[in-house]
Amino acid sequence: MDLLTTLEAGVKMVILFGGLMGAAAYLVLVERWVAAWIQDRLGPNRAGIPLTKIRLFGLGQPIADGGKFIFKEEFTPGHVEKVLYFLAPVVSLTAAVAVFAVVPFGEVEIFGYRLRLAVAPGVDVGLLYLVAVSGLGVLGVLLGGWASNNKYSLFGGIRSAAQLLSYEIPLGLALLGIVLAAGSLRLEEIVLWQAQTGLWNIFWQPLGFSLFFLAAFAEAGRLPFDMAEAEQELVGGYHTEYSGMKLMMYMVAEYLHMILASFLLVLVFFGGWHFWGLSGGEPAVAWPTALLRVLILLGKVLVVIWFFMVARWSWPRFRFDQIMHLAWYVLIPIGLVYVVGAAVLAEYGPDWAARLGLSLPLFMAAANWTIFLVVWVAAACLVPAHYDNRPLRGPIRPQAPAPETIP
Amino acid sequence: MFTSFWPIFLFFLFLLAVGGVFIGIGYVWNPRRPNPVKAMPYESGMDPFHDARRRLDVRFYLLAVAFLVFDVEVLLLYPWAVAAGVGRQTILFSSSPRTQAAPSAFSSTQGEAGQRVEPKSTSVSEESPQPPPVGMDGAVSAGMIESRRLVLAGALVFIGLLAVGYLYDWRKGILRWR
Repeated sequence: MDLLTTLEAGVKMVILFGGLMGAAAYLVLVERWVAAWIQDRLGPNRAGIPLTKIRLFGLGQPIADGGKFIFKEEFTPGHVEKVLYFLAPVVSLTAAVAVFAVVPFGEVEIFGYRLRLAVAPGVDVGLLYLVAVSGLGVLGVLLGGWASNNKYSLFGGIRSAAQLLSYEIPLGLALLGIVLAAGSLRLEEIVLWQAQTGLWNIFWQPLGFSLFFLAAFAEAGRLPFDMAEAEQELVGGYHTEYSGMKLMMYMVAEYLHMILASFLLVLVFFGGWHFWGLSGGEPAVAWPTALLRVLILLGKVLVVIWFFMVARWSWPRFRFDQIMHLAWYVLIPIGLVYVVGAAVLAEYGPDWAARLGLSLPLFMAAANWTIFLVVWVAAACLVPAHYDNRPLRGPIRPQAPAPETIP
Repeated sequence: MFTSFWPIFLFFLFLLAVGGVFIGIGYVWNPRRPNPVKAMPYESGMDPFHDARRRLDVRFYLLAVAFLVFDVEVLLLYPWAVAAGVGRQTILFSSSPRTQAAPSAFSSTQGEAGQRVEPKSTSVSEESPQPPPVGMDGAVSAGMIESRRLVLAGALVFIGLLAVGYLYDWRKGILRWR
């Protein structure tokens, strides 16, 4: 809590915040380019330097958008709950950015001083903090939807809250398996562990990866899962009544959820800043390697984000009941099986591998892939078809007994 | 111990301040031309026939209750997962030659932020003492718990209870949305 720590944290958090805002702004542009590329049309390519004819491939677009957000009329409708209406975007943005406090970018050694590239580097419960604070994002959405006093907003907020809540459980279960294997809640150590073994978690934890991937996708609220603002159904969802800077805060928060999901996928499953032959397994390195590590990390994150963008323009939106069924009937049971499997393998794996005469990594990978395939086939066979579009015959609960007695 | 949370606290203050500034910019810096149509709730151009303070489907409430139960129980599993896994990363994947450096690396990252880097001792060749067992292994060797497998059985019973609750929810139909 001394002055040096405070100063260091202050500098880091300003850099991080600026970087995230810039990244969100420019990723919107990239997303529009990707959309244009997929739909075979020209994307935004006009905005450049104002008052000149220089276009710069549309790189001025985010700045123009930001200016528009600032100078547009920001209308507060008369029917809203004033305090909550103003508070909700702040909550949303705060929760979305604060999560990045524990995201590590590596460690660098300068002049004998070990600088950790994260706002809060020493937090022992990093993953837990991450799950908890990203859960706060639900509050912003729900508050915004409720305070708007508009039926579209309310349903957007409620649906989005239900979706985010549901997918938080598989997310937690998938991380539990990784924590069991890595023995730490600190993202730095999870990355370091992958870097030292050279074996990324995705190669031997396929079930955890698929669970986490689906849950993170849904938590990010991207298109196949975007219950929050299904434009064709709910106009703008929970930010129907928002405009100007408040709308911008919601948009940025939404984008940051996607960036966070990408960061988490990369850090937990794709080895973080590690790449074979390029970055060693030491915790702290001199600055050229540290820079290389940051670039590798950001490169991987960009690849995942690119996948998110392509997915957005490739799949139609799921229906709300399909989303809920996927979470509760598929992902949560699979998550429970996964945790049991991970616990048993972590405990008995070495013995069994020795008995079979296999090397431990090979045995673990084989066992986990077997579990993955068995569980996937079983889920495909057992779970009722939630892609069934026929209307449900009869009442909601066909075999409901005589009046429920709920004690 | 809690000093590592100081930057997070600062970060939250910083973000709330920034949010306030954004709201302030929006408040001061733009035109304001109200009219009665703008003041209506936007519901696709229809005149709204009542406000949004209506009753909602009870399933959302049940879902929130179910979520609370499951999420809290999953959170209770985290300490067990950490205790069971800590110190065993080296046992897992012990055949990989790179994990030789793992114990020293992991213990050196435990320190406070901004510490001086101790002079590098390339102690791969010389005999370094085995670090004392930590986590659940430490508890076992200290005689605080009987064996790791007993704890594993306890955790599995816990997960089993979670599964029973899940099946109950399923049978009650509160997971059903069609």
